[in-house]
Amino acid sequence: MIRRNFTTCLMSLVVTLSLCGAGRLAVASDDYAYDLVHSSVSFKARHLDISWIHGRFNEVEGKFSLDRQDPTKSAFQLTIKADSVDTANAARDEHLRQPDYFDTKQFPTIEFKSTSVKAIEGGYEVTGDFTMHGKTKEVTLTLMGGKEHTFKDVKRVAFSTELKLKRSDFGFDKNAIGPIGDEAIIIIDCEGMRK
Amino acid sequence: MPDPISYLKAAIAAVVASAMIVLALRLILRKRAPSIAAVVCVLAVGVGVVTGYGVLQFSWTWPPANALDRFLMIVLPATLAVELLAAVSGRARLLPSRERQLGRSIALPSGHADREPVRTETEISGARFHRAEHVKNVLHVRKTTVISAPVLSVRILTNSATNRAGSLCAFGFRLALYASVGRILLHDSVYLGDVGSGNPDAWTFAKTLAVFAGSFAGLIGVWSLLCRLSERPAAGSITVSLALVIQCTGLATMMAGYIKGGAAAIPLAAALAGTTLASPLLAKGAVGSDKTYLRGTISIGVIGLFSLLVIGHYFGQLTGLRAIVLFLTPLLCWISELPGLRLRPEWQNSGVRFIAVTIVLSAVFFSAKQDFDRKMAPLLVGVSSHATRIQLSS
Repeated sequence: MIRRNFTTCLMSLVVTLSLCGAGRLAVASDDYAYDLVHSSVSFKARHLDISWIHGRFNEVEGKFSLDRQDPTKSAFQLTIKADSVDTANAARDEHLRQPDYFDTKQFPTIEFKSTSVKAIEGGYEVTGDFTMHGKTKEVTLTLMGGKEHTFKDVKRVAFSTELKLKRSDFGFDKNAIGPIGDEAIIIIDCEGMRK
Repeated sequence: MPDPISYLKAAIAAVVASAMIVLALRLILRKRAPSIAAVVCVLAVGVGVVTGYGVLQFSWTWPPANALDRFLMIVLPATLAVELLAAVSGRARLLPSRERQLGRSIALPSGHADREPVRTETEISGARFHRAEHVKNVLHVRKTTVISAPVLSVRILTNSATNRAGSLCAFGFRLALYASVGRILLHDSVYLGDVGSGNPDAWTFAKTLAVFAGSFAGLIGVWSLLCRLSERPAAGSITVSLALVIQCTGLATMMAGYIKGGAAAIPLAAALAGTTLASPLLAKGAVGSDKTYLRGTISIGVIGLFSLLVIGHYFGQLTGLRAIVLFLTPLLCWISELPGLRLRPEWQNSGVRFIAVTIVLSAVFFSAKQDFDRKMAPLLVGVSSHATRIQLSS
């Protein structure tokens, strides 16, 4: 009886340890949180087709998981609060929040969610759904970087990318595409951190 | 950037389209036109609005993504449908009552209602029935179809039941629309989001209830007061005043920075004005001084004004005070009912109404212009430091 109980306990232990090991293998990717202090999402758009207007979004959230062995298992996600647009001019920021531009009361966030990740030289090619102004389109980002650094027990990894898009593709009013060019460039410098 | 040329084209197209519909239906229907004047007016506004938005090249993609799209694709068509139903049932409702009065007036003096031949004419329209005109009509209809009193009684009873049901149905739909228009426009916006999700703009349940109940009460109040006033002479001045207020709402919204939201007011205001200006054609041949056929037009104007204000305030930067003042401004048309002004000729009543409305609209416009000059204008011309100030005039 005692021997039978011992065998049962031993088998349970083996199964538990096996499951733990499998779980550890399954979580081979590292999860990172977007570091708001050391990251930025900025943009620029043409003014009268002679110069560039620069701005940034001050409130951004995001996370990504990075699987170095199998990059296809990596995932990236970014959420920008459109209301936090900042072009260093309060009146212009108010204007940009209105429905002719970002329509922040209707579409409070700009989002990116990856659907596939591919390793390329010096970084990753990330394809995903980019949602802005209520319209979702598939875009491909070329994330350059990926170097790791541990500072004060916090592991950090960083990427940079630029995304060119046409505002008209995302349902912006054509009358709002006049002095300010249709094409905008979004520049993302993202630092992720994990303990 | 605002495009004044296309706005002008849209306004002209909306005015011409709605006026042409009135004119065309007047020519096609001839004597029947006055009896369906209300239906013609609603159709004319609908065609004018669609034409105007077509000229402005507003997109019509389903499902509507923002408040303006929901206004154009849900609220406006629903309003037109409800007012069309109300106009059709209202027009039908008038006929039996007219027949009833005709029957009573002819039958009672003789004391032989069952034998007295009663004549009717279905072309008669209008709501109020003056005694002198009534007698004139009775004499006129004697020349036409002869219907015996029992047949007429049966017709009156069946028509009354059907038409009352139609009118009740239209009124019910109207109430439902007025109750839901705010919710439709604010659908999926930050205001109706989850309070607990860290959304600072989300309304609590109590605030949501208060806003929607207040909107409903305001809509019903303004609509019923204007419809009541439309029973008085110079009803056309009410719809023209509404068109002016809608146009001013558009300008104020544009100056607050929401260009497309402001532009959306132009075809609506123009269609209302075009229909009203052409509507005297419909009144020709109508009984008495009846002008209640403009009720549908007034309803469309009230809903349109309310929707544009909601969009301008909650999604644009139109201030709450300006929105409330603009919404209540059409009620100034009641000024013509003040003692001393009440029994004046129709053109004087219209003039008094226009003056009252225009004074308030001018105040709103200039206050909006001041805000525009302070906030928005520098974005267009640029701001420079004193050291490098560019003399724009040179």
